[in-house]
Amino acid sequence: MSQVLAVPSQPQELPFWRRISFRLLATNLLLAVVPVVIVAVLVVYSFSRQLAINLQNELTSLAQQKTLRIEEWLASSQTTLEIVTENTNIFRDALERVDDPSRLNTRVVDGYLINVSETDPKIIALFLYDLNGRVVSASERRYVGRLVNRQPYFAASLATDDLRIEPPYFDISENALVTVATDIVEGADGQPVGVLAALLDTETLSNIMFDRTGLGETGESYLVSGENNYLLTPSLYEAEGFPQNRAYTSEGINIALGGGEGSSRYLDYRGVDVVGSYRYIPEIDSALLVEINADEGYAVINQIAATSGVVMLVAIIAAIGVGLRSALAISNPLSKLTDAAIHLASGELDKRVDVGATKNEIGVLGASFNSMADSLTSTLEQMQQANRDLKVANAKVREAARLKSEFLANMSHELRTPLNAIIGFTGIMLEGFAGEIDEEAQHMTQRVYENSKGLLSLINDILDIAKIESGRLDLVSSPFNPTQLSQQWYDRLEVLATQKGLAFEVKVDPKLPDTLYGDAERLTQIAVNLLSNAFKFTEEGGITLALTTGTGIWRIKVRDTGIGIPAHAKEYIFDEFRQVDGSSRRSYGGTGLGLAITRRFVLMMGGTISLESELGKGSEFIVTLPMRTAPANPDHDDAQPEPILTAAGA
Amino acid sequence: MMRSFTVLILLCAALVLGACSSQPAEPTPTALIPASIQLSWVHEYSSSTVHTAVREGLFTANGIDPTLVVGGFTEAGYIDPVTEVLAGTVDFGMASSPTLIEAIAQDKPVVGVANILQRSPLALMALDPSIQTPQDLVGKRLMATEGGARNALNAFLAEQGISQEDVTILDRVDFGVDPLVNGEVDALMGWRINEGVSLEEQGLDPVFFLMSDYGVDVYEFVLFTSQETAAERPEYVQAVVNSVLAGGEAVANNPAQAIEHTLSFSPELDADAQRLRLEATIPLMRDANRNISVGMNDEVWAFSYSQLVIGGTVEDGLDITPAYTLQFVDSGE
Repeated sequence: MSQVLAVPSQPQELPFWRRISFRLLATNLLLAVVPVVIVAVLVVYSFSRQLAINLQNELTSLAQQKTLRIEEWLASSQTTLEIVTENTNIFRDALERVDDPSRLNTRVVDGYLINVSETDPKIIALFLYDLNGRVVSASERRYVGRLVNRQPYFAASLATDDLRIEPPYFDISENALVTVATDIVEGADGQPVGVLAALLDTETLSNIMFDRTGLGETGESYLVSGENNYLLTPSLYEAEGFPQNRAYTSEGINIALGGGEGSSRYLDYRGVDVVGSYRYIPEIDSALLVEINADEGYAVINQIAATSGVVMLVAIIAAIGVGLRSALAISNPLSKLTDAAIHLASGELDKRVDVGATKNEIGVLGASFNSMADSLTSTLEQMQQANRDLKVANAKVREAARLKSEFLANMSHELRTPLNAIIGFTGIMLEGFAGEIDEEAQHMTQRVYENSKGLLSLINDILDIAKIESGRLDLVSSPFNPTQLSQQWYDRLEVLATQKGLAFEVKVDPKLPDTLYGDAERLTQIAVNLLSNAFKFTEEGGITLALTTGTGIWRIKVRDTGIGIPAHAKEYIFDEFRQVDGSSRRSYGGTGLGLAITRRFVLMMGGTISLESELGKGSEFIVTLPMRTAPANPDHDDAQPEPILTAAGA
Repeated sequence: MMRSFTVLILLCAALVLGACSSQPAEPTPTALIPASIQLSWVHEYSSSTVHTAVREGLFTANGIDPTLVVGGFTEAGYIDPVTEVLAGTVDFGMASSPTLIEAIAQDKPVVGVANILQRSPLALMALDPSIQTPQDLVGKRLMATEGGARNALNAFLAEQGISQEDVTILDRVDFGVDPLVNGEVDALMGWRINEGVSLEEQGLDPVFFLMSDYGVDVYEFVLFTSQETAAERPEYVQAVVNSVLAGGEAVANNPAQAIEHTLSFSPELDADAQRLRLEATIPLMRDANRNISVGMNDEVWAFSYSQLVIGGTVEDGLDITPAYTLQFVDSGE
């Protein structure tokens, strides 16, 4: 279903979202910016992802390198200890002869151990203890005499023949983090007689962790003890309140100490967002973590994202600029066209569109619009001139009509005066008041009398038409009783029914008010015209006059059983001087003015007249008039009127 | 229509569940059992375990409503935890293993139920660089307070085969380290975790002969109660022991936080000094398996008793088993 937009009489301020410029701009942005943003985001995302993977791989590589260095350190220490313990005999001798007051044997061993520890920087001290844990010989004298049976490594060192390494722990005696490697010393019978222990330099661990190659500004690597989650090596951020001897947790620490390894982004023990690689090193029961602050690690990514953001911003601004320019290039001329069209519609025919030197469709449209406006102006001027000419002609016609009507009125008056005299005198003659006349004379007088009356009727009709056309016929508004009025009509025309042997019936709706206001004389003229025509064209059957009511209206219905009216005649039957055809006039007489006058009166009363007819069966004229009084009861709208007067057919 | 009905049902269910969940949960009425603990000293790092257990709700978690009673000296003299426990003034006390053995010897029915320090912090400390081994102490001036420290020194010297005639032993009359720092003595008996830290705070680098490294070991912080309580209310005692153990673990996990808890009991303390001492203490709270423990072993109790016998404080032949029970703890290593 098409929707017709009303053209506003004045230029209107449209909401911005309904403006073409906005929609064009939005479309431009949608088509230009969104793909750019999507592509940029995808590129940045995939690039960032790759960089993140690379970063994690780098950290994992560092963790791997550090792990290897730790393992090398441990292996080297173990090798040293294995070489030392190959001198089983001197250790066995020292252990078996520990009670020798001279300690000659143990002093030999002391010297040997001192020599080894001085030549191997990985070893801080070497000491030999018996099965009770008492140190009998050592590279440092302070160890001699100590009992190590409460140390974590003691029980384990006796429980295995293999060289083993005790994971780092804080030794209160050493007041330091220590890692102890132990190897059993067997007696001649193959049974353990003691243990050689090496206190390893855990500074090596710290040095490995302190190697910050590839860790940037914020990166660090550290070891976390599986024993108590303490830091085995100091935190880079120790001065910020992260001492070694505190239990720390993080995703990386937890996974690594659980035996797992991996790399990811998480919050470290400080609660800082980091990227880290983590793994468990079983030899020292510790987690190795290599981390770098995400801010630094992802600096390149952030920079790329920022650059992409700037590029996108520039692209968006450019798209907005270009889109705005394009949108305005279209919408501005359209606005001008719209404005001009509105002004044109409001009658400002001199309004033209300035679309500049635009050569595109908009320019063509503007030029066409201006051409159309020119044509419209020209046509309108021609029409205005034609109107002026028409008014002059119309005035002349009206004057001629007025003169004609005036002439006709005057002429009618002049004609009626002698006609009335003729009718009067012939009537007197027919009544015998002028003496007896013979039959032939009677007959001729009678014809004179009737023709005169017909002529008078014609003249009266012409006079009415003339009055109507000249605007000199006024309707009166006075109360009348419609029932009584209809009775008068009945009385007046009953004679025709009797003459033609037709039934004549009058029905009045009982709901019709007793008093209506209107021009009773003209209503009578209407009814008599219609009834006269009905009698005139009806040879058998009857005539029915009905007065009915409706909402705010009342009707005069005249139905006959006459010859009927052909369909084509309905279009002109109410025109002046028109009858169904020429033969009708010849057969039935009449001037052809009755229905025209009737219609004029009805229209003057604000009513309508309609016709329903079927050829050979009869016709019904319906006059609908406004009810000039209180409306009748609507419940009786369709009530059939009751007959109050009936003229029996002859 | 069906969809609307389903949504309506879900909405109603959500409202009902929401209404249910928004109702405050009825608190489970759990009556906390009061337990008062007489500390052996004033509020300081040595009691951080119980401070932390109190402040972190670890007692409450075990159904205990704790009250800590400060110890130390008053005008009336030293507050003896054994006396307080037996008098019923408090439910628990803290004392050393020799102190509890002495109590048993005096027919005072107390029993050690847990031990906070797995190793004695007692150490002989020296600043003379020529002193590196116990044998280097020969001919030196050693200082120790009468009682437990002197007994330990004697045992240490005996263990190292050093005759008391080969050294000069002086009585220590105060708790400072000035005699050592000033060179009045060559070695001083004190706590590694207190006087030892004091020396380190002064930038000194002392050599420590930790008595426990030489088989001279006693328990300095034993949680005890009356034998009657231990026998008749074992679950109650167990709850307190468990709380103390949890407190020790919490201290080890975050010493700095533990010191904040201690400071909440005694704000005038020097936080840094307390923290350093507590950090030195934590390794002594671990057993040979490196775990925080409140366990005990017979060997240390036996050694404690031997020291008392040697010192003449108690007679030989005493049955010390009533002095402690391993019922509530793991056996210490």
